[in-house]
Amino acid sequence: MRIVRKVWRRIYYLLNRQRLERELAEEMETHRGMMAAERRLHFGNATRLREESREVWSWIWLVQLGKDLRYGARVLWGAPGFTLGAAAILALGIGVNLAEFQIFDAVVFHRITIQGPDSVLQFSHVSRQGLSSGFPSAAVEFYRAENTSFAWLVSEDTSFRVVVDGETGLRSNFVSGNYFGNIGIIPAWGRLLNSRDAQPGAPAVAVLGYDYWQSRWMSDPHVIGRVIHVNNQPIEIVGVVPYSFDGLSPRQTALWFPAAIRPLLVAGSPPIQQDFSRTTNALFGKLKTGVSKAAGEAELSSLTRELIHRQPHSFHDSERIQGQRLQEAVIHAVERSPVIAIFIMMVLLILLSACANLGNMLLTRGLARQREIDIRMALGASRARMVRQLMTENFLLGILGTAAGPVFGTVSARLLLNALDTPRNIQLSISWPILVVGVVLIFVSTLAFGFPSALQTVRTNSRKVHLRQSLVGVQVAVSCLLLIASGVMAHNGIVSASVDLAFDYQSMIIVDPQLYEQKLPASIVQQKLNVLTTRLSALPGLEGVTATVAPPLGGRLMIENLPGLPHVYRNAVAPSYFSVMKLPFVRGRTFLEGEQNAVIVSESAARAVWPNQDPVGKRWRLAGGERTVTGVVRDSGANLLADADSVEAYLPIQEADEERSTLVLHSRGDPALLARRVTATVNEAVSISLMRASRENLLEGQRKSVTLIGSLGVVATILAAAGMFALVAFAVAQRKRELGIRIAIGARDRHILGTLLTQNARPTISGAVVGVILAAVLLRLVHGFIVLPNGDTVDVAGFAAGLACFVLVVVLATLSPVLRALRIDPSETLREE
Amino acid sequence: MPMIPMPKGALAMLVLRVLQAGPSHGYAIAQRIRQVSGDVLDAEEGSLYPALQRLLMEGWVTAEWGTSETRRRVRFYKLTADGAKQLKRERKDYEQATAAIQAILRLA
Repeated sequence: MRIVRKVWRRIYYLLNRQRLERELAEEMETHRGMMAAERRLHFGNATRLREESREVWSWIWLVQLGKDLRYGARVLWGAPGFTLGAAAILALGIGVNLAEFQIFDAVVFHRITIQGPDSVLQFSHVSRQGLSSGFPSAAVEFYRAENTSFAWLVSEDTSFRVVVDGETGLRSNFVSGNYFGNIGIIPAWGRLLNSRDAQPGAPAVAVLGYDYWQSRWMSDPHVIGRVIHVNNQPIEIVGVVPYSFDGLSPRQTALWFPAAIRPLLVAGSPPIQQDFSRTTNALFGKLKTGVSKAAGEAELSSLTRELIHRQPHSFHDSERIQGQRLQEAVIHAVERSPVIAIFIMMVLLILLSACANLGNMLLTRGLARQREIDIRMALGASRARMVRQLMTENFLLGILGTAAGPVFGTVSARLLLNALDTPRNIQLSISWPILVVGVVLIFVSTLAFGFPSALQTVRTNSRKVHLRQSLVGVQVAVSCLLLIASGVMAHNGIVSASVDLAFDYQSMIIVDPQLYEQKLPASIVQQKLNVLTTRLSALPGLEGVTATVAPPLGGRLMIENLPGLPHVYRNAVAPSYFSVMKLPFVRGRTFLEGEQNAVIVSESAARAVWPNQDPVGKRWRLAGGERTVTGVVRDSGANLLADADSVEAYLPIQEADEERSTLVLHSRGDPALLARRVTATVNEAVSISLMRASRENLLEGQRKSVTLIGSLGVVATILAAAGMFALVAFAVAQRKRELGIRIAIGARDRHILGTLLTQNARPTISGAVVGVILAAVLLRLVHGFIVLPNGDTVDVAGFAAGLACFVLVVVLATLSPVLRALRIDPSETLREE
Repeated sequence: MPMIPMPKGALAMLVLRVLQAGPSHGYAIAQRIRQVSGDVLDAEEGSLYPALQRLLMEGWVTAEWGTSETRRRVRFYKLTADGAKQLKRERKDYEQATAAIQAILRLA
């Protein structure tokens, strides 16, 4: 009841505001009149007291807010240059952040453009031997036929490359049953694969991936019904997969086939219902409503035990099936990427820089409005009231900046995604979490940087200069850091591209017979490898064949960390490896046939382990055994591409490693030609790749990081340049009269320069020092990703290039206002007063 | 002249106390406070008015226009039942606090 009366009183006061204000003024005036004349001064500031009284009437803040907003809008409208500049800076800072969050959101949460991705699980099988997400086709078909928990189960197999009418290396995806229908994909053209295509005896059909349709078939709608020859088998094209879909484990796919026709395309494959040999199917499922994830997993696990009963070696005995939501799987991949972590940190630094810039502009503006503010305070505006007014204006600016931010953000997110070459079905959209992030960003940025500036503006003098200088210092530090980082990354890209590969990678082909997939006894593995080697050796255009477990640039690594040494990249190779690869010996010899406890080291390994000694004949404990060094070879350079801190060691291939052997072919002429011959000769499933393509892939990844970091460096530089320019330009404008007088009484150019430059030297230098220190720390943290020439510990060249860039920016930004100062005409300046 | 800043709550309590004796207008309230509390209101007598607005808002006093002894148009403030209760409450709090402080001082 009391509350109701209270609220009612407030409404009454709001409605009768003007009359009540008048009455209060009258009452206070009467009071003053009644006071003795000599005591009237002790009444206090009537205007301020009236304002305090009005504030008691509540809602007053609402009225004031309205007034502040209107006033703020007028002020901003009256200074369009300032408003646009500040909004642009905010848009830049917030935009880059929104871009980042959009990319993150797109990559992590919207990667799968299918209906209800939340309820889709990807399965893996776990046993004491480890976790694998690859299932044999026979198991997939068995689960699909027997399960009761799932609305649907589908599989995809992206491990094959196919040849279409002579064009090699096209990515394929073999999908099970009604894959597209279950997931709910609508064709871009024609029809997609359905369960009829999967039935035995159905005509062999395929659908095209959108990109492939566009690039190879020029988006020809008449492609439907065409017969193409895939691995020399006639297959009819029936449709095109839409632009937005690239599979559940996204990767660009040229052709999609029903899993059932795999025996037709891949020689030696049994019918899928009996195919236990290849475990390359990824398995996905959607639970029926009301069935728990645990129940689904339990059913699949028990079906697996039944399978083991029927086909003893299909799975390990202790195998259990485990599901993971599609999105979780993607998040794990993102978390592991250090580039993304660095990127996010840098983006936040840019926001910091933008905010510092904004704070500086606001402070400058506050100085320009000093007279207005002084007058209002003299008229009785309280300090808090003025701060509130200024903050309202800042808030309006923030809204303007944020309105422009998403536009800028979306554009830059698009550009970045293009630069990164992401799969098609990563889509950008402004969704509500991004908007929430945006709103939070405005609040944080206006509060963090508008508030101290507003406070300083209404405070009397002195410390404004300090605040300005520290704000510039922040910008300088951030831009210095980002430029140095960009310099190092760019230099890193150049260095990696020019790392000398000591072997003849241009003419090498890697053939992976994937024998480890088949779980064969060692003797049969040996025999198969021999047969394959013999057959390949007979090919024309071949110079040599050898075997290795970790083909260079191939991504398969065995790294041993020994105390006090660089990372030791181990490889197991055949004795003929060095001669076929054309990797020259510096000392000693290669392995003898059957020699087991021997090791061959790279030059850098020899230097690191036995400095100034002859390593040949020395003993070295490596890979769990005592070994004797038989030779020293040149550094291959393959590992240096990605890890500057690496040395190499080669062991003979052990019997247990035999099944993981790949064959390396040295071609005499064009390796692509030889690769085609290999494909034609080998009728078993093998994976063939060109070593020069592997090198390109590796460098491509590094180029992307450089693009990313570099783009941030550019933004940071623009911000810092704007900040420096504003600082010096303002100093010139403020001291114009003083400078004019000094010129009039004979100051030389160098005096004027000295005055202006020393004023800004401190924030610039201290900011630069902080930036350099931070950069050094950051580079220390990521030094494993940075490739350095000649084993330096610091990338001096990259560092210096970034720093030089930074100095150039500072000079350019200060040049024009300083020149303007030199051109001040004393007579004109003094006449202006 | 020593200037003792007046805590806001204390001024409100003083006003309530003055009004307990009967309705009064702003100037008279100020006079009365100056009489009983020496010169505490001396620095800024007008600060009485924001305090009065607060009491009005809380519903502890009501105001009515009338004519003063010197025939001026002034507003008379009157303690309400809620206001009397509030005064009693504040007095009790204050006395408890002083008693506690005195107890501590005696012990020390």
